[in-house]
Amino acid sequence: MASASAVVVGRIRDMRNYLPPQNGATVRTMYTLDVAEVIHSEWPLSQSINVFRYGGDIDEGVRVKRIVESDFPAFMPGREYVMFLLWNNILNGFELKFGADSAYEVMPNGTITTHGRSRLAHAQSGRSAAAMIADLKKEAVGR
Amino acid sequence: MIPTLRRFAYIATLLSVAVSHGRAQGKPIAITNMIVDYADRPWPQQVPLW
Repeated sequence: MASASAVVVGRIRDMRNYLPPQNGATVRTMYTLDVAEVIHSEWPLSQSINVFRYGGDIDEGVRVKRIVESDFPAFMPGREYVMFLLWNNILNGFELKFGADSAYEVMPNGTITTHGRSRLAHAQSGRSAAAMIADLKKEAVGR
Repeated sequence: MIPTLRRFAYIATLLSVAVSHGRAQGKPIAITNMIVDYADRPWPQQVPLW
């Protein structure tokens, strides 16, 4: 957790396509995340932050090329997530620190679901979100 | 009353067909899968854009 710039709980407000102006940069999707709780952060965060993910749409004229991350569906507006974030100085926003292993959706019934494949992700899947957040807070305090 | 309801249903049907037609006229979407190796990214700072 210490290697992440921030660990937050928040709800996706909206999403939009973002093509960085730099040559060779991969298209991104920029999500606006309304932060409900900051578990860890290297600096104070505003109430809403931008989170970038790889992939998005590129209009090629006759068709739209949609780039998607394998086995990691896009975030859905209105849904709540626990995220491990990494600051990107060039994008001037956050990215996911470990990809799918950085995002844990809080389901309406209060359990966690994730597309991550790490041991941590498997351990959290189906668990109570409140218990996961409590554990993360304990770890944050212990550091 | 009934003619008004019928007119409303007719207009709703027209609108529904128009929306469907508009979607069908949209550009085709070609899905490309991307695999990102997050472990390959440098740390702790200045994560490059790629």
